[in-house]
Amino acid sequence: MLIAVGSSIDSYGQDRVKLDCYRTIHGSLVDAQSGSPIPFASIFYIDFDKAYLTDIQGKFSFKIHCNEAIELEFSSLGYASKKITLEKQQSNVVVALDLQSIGLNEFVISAKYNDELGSDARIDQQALEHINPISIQDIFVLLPGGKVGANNIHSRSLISSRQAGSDQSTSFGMGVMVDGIPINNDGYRLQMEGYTGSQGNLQVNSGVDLRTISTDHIESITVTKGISSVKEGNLSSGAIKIVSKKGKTPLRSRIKFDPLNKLVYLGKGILLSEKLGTLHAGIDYIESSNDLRNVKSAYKRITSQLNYDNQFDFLDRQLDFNVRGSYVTSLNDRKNDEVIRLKQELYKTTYSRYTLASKFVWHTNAKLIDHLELATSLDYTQDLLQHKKKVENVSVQISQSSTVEGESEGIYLPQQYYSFYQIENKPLNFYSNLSATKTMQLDDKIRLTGLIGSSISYTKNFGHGVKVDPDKPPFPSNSFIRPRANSDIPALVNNASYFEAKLKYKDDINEVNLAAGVRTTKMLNLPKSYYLNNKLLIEPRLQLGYTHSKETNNFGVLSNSLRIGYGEENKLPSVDYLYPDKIYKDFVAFNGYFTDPNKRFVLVNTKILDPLNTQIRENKNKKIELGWDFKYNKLSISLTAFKETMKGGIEYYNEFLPQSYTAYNLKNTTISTRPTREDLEPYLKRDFITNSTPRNSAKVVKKGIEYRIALAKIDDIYSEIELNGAYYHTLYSSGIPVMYRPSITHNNKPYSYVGYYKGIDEQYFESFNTNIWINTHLPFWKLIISNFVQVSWIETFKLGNNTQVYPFEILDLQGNVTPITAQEILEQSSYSPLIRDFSSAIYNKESRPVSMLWNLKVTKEFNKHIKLSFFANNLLQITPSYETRFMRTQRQTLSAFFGTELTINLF
Amino acid sequence: MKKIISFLLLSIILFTSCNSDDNSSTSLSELTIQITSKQNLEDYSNFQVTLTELQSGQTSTGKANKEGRAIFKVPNGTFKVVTEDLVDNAVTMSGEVLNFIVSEQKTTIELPVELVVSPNNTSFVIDELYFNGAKNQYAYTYYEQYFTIRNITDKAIYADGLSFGVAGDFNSLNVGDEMAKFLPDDIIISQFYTIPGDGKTFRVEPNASLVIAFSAINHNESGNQPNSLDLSGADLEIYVEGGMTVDNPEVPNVIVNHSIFEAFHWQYSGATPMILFRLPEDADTFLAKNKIKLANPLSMGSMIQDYVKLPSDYVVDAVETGLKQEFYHKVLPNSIDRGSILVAGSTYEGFLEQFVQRKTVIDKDGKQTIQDTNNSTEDFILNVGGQKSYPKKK
Repeated sequence: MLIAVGSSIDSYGQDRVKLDCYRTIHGSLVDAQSGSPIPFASIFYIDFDKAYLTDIQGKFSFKIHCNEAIELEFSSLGYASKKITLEKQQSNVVVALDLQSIGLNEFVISAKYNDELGSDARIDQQALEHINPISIQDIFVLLPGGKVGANNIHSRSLISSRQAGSDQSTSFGMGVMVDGIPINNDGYRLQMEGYTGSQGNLQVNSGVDLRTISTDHIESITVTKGISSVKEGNLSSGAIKIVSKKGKTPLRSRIKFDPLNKLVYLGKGILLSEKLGTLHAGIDYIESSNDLRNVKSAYKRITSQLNYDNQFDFLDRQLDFNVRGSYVTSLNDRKNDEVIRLKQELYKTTYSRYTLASKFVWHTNAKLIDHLELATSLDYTQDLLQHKKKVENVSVQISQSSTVEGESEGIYLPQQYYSFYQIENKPLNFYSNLSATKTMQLDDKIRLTGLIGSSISYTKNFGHGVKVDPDKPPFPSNSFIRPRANSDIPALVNNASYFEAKLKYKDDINEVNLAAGVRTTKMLNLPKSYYLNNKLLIEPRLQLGYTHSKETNNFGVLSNSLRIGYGEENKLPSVDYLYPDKIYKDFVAFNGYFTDPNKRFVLVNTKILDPLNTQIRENKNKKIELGWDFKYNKLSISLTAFKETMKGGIEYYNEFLPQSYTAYNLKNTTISTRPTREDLEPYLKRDFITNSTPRNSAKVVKKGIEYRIALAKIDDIYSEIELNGAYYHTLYSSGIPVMYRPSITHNNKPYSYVGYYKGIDEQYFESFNTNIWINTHLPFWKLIISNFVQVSWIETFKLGNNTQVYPFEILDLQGNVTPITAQEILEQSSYSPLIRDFSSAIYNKESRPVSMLWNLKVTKEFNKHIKLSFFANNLLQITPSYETRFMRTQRQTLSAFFGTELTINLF
Repeated sequence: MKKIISFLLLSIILFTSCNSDDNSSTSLSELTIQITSKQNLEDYSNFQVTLTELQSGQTSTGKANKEGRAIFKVPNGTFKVVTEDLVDNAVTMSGEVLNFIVSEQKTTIELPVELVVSPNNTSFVIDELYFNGAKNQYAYTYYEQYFTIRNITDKAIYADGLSFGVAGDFNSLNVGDEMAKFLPDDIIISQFYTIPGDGKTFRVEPNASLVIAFSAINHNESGNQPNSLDLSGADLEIYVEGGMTVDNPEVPNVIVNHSIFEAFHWQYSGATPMILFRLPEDADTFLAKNKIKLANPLSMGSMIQDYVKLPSDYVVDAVETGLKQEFYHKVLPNSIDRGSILVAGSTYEGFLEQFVQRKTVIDKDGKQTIQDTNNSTEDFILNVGGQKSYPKKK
């Protein structure tokens, strides 16, 4: 009746904007086999880009605009999703979902690209189950430009995005979110001379360790390589958005077995009661090794996740409530390593992370706010590296024992000794985000959505940091750190606010989408002398898309879309870059290693260097993206062209500083007793010292085109075919001039000048690949055969030609910086070592020939409960040998790799 | 009768007068030997001059005066003259003229002298070469290399001012002739060092050796490195500041003239020969004229560094050490070493105790000495594990 009234009003005022005509859609979602309701399933209103949830009884109810034929997509974990079109008059519907099964006709295992504005790719349950990833990096293969890599999680590699090669800033700037809550490890510090940076299993400043995220707890994952939404921040290269498993699901178990990996997973979601909601629990264990001969020293990991969901009525409005707890622990104990056993050493890393997150979504549907969301999370990590090391000095080393600047007596270290150090990081992260959205239908064609929000994050490291005995250094050298405890470092407190307006115009033929937003970030709680303290950083993000659809006679709609976007994304520096520890460098003032140990006498002069850079800035990445999508019948083609420019990637940069100190010569070398100061003749010595300081000095410029051609299931061959790939052109360079000191000794003295060079080491990488998937789905046999072929057409590397051979400035031992010309350098023979001459071969382009590999995977579903897969990677490889720039022959091969996987579902 | 007696008297007179005439025809000539030298010495009074008459074998000796003149009174004939500044049984300079004729009343012969320790003379030769190193279980013995130079003359000589350098080219790498193209006139070296001294500091007795060590310390002081050497008694130490070694103040250091590595670097495999030479001018002048930018053979052509061109004429002795399995071309010209002494291992390997030294021979006087025919294939032997310690003399 309501509907009838609605339509009569329409017929009178067709020109009036129909803001006040709504109809309510009711319904319920049930399991097709059992008939039981599916609670907290998701209903996606495709046209309006809106999502709803069924309640605890599987029922749903929401308002939509009148006279609309709408398309809804129903999905729930463990079930095959279904698309339903509701006609104008329909408003009540019962939808039955079948359990996910290869026996179903619709079984899509490739990534989905639904965004009208960007190039986001979503990989959902079916695809995840099919590729059976060990780590999230395996998922990147599905996306254009993805390449098959190492088959284990033992070794940690940098995350790369839209580039040929990889670099630390891209990996550091990749954001990872679980249910909208970011994970970060910006609170880690690794300040120890001889270890600073990345070694072994501990790495800082290269982003989230993806090995700590299990793929078994993921329902779907969306990867954004282009411009992120304003809600996502503290990232510069892209975002990996994970939706965790929730709700009621059958008992699922997965066992994966291959030569390097052993994995077991168990997970189930139960409906506690109508009042109490649902609880989903999952646990998995993996052992991953990178060497078949040494499987005992594998990386071992246990993860578990618990998701509690419920819906309440709060002030007469629906409130969705979710609490998630997760626990990850990993262990790497190299006790079976041969050298470690022989030397009676110990090397152990242990990692544990506890997370508690909660999310409240209140569907107010009021005048100003439609939904209000509050997300909060608290996570605590304990990361400990312990190393008992036998130090065997091949040369006599002098110990560093001074804690003040200036001259002091040193001691010679014993030739052999045991040294123990440990590095402890205990970051605690707190995050909270409050946001509100409002959708307004301006008229029947135009809709406006607004999003506004603010978030705060707090990171503090409670760990001891580095604990080491300075009299027994594990890596003896002439520089040392007196480490500060991580707990003495102030907390990182970042605040962000964002606003975005989305405009959608849609009529029968044209559709225009516009998203304009801005994100502002501020780092609070930094010392006042820092540039970034309370500095407002602004990140504008704009995207525009236009779609033209035409109904054709035979095959449905033919649509063409064009999209363009521009965004700026900032990655803020981590605690390790903001608070580096002082370095104590020892110069040897007198080195008297007499044969008689009682006569030995060594004097050191200690200089304290502070690598702190208070002017360190955010790493800003500017992105431009252009795309074209074409859809017709079963064919869809997509092309995305992009350019990303990042000039301020943070890295440790070597600078030279002149120093002077008093050195001594022995007056009488035939002295029979231990020398004292009276026996020494002083003289002034000058030398350069290197100081490794964090600077915004890395520059990466990424250009390229990603393409995708997909053919949905061709019935005759029962296969869907997808071709995707990318052409990437990447430039790695330095954003600031490089300092270089020739290492040459002349007349007992090291070289006395340092040159400043512009345009050093511009590296150009290029790659072009095509990945082909042919997924053959035979539902009558319940079999899926996946053929994957990766062809790498182009892989080149070239050094830029403008590598500066002559410095433009020189620094002398007195600290004077003078400009200099190539002419002046050529005229004086003592300047000749400053000429950075390279043989012309170094500028040759190095190209790898066309190479190809083929992987095969066969999955058979025996019955509703059991599914068995068998995979063979690198089954066929063609990797010809090639000549490098220096005329050496090289060949890259990957070894063939087999494995099996068993999935068991119990209900 | 009267006629016979007067004839007899006359003949007697004639005979006696003839006799006095004979006396005047066998008088001596004055021979002045004038010693000269390129170094323009101020005082030649140490020089002993030995004159030998070639037909009779008669010798006469004399001492030169301060200006370098020695005057002899000798009959006419063919002579040879030898001079050396013998002091305390040691010489630093010598010279000889092998064949000259004295026929005039007064003759002056110039006798140029030069340093004994120089390319044209036989003085020092390289004897023991320990570049390879050893292993103490799995730890390599870095910084324990040494070599010795031996005096094969019959007088004591001084090593002051001698230089030694390491070749820049590798005879074990087949990377083109970037460095080999300078042979035979010049050899490319990557570093060189000079023995200090005022000219009479480092005395080496006949048939004795001078030990030059890289890190002259006792490397097995703790006792748990049995395969390490005790080099605390070496005569000279190669200490480069900024390198990884300590300085033993009791062992004098060589002068570090030039090194492209900011350290002493002698490839452990032995593929970069050691060269002993003498510079006729000071090192800085030599360096300014002979620096050359070439690609480091190990860098596959990418790194160009400041090497030094050493004229073969300056070389006193050098040995073509190399690898049996990897020997592609010679680094030294044939005029300096016709052969090669090859050891086991590969370019990037070492620490196999491959020790080489000269063969011991008995010379014509029945004394034990070492062989030097400028052909290391014949002159050297491989004595695995034969490296010696030179501990400090108590």
